[in-house]
Amino acid sequence: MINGKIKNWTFISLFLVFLFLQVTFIPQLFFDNYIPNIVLALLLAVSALDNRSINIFYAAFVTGFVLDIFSGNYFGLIIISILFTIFISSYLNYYFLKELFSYNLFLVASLAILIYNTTYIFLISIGDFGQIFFNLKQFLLIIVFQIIYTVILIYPLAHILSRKTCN
Amino acid sequence: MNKEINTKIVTFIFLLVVAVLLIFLNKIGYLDQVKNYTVYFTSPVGKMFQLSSNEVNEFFWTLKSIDKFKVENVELKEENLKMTYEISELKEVQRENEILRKQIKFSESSCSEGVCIEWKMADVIGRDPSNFGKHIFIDLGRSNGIQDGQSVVASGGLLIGKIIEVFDNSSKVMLITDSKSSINSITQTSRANGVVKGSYATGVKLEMINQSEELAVGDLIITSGLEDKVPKGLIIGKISDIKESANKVFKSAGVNMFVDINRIEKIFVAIKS
Repeated sequence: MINGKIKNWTFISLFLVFLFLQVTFIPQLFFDNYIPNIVLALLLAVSALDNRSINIFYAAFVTGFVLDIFSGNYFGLIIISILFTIFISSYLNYYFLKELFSYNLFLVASLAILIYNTTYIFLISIGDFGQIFFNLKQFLLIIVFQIIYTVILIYPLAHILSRKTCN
Repeated sequence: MNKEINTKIVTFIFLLVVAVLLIFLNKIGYLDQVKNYTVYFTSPVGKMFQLSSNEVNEFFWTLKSIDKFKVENVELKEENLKMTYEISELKEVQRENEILRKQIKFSESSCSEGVCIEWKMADVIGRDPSNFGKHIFIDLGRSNGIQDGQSVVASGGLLIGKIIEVFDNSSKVMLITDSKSSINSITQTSRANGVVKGSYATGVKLEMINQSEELAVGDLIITSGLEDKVPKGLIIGKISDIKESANKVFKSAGVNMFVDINRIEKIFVAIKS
């Protein structure tokens, strides 16, 4: 477990900027492809760095709430998916992440993305009576792209945030 | 350490309960104002990014599509020749039509069969940030007479979606490429009835066509007018390939859309009266 303590103002300002970009700029750029979830990448980086903080759960809740407003699917599903993902990833970080810039960060981030997307699609499919499972290949591609985007983002983010930590 | 873990579990469960409560509140409409203001405050930036990202996308799209352009160019030249012939034929038909109209004193009007359609132009101000849906936000809402179910078209009468949620000054549009979208439609020449459904990133397809119906590649697919707020005759696309199998109840067909739905900036909402 890594016990950095990220300054609240750093986290809040970064979080708000990322959240704002996620609902405005990012979908415009990646609309016909696979959209990266930059807020989730930030939350995962913070979770890896500051495992003791519970503020991340509140941030995950706000993220889910805002993304749900802009999403066309049933309201509330992103909140639940993202909360669950952060909850699991905080445990994974606690047990597996002994060093920040290691291969384990990649594994934890990839697993978190898998959990997030699987939970979300599972919750949608409950509402849709399974119709959403029509295209498994597309679903897998979304996960692969999300993992790539998240891994590209999470290491620089963790690097920047680790400089802003205090003990 | 146990205390930390307990705090996390308690926080997680507490927020989960709040989330479930919010789902319930949303269902009974208590979150409409919150949603309305969230969209309202983000829409100016969304609109600004929409314009700039289109320019960036345009550049990469052009690079990516050079090969496709070459093939398309050949096809368009052939189509152009065919069209030239058809235009000359249509001119004749038009002349004949004018004579007949004069004979029956037909009045020029945008209304047909007692139904008038008003077109309201809107800007795209936001897009779905998740990977599991195709939705856009537009800058017209309840105050502009927008209602659930109204059809949304690009210029040229090309159907792109339907309104699914209306706020005071903005609305959410489900694009026809969304996997939950389904539109009653007919093919223009053979008049085969079907349903155009969205299919994730692959666009749209025409489904539920009876085996007895005739389909032809290139035939136009238009809205059937069976849905209350969707006018008849809006163009959806043309048939690209036909999938039929003797052991299936229905035929299906791939659909080529005439508009790149991801690059739309301005749209029109059809308001039937």
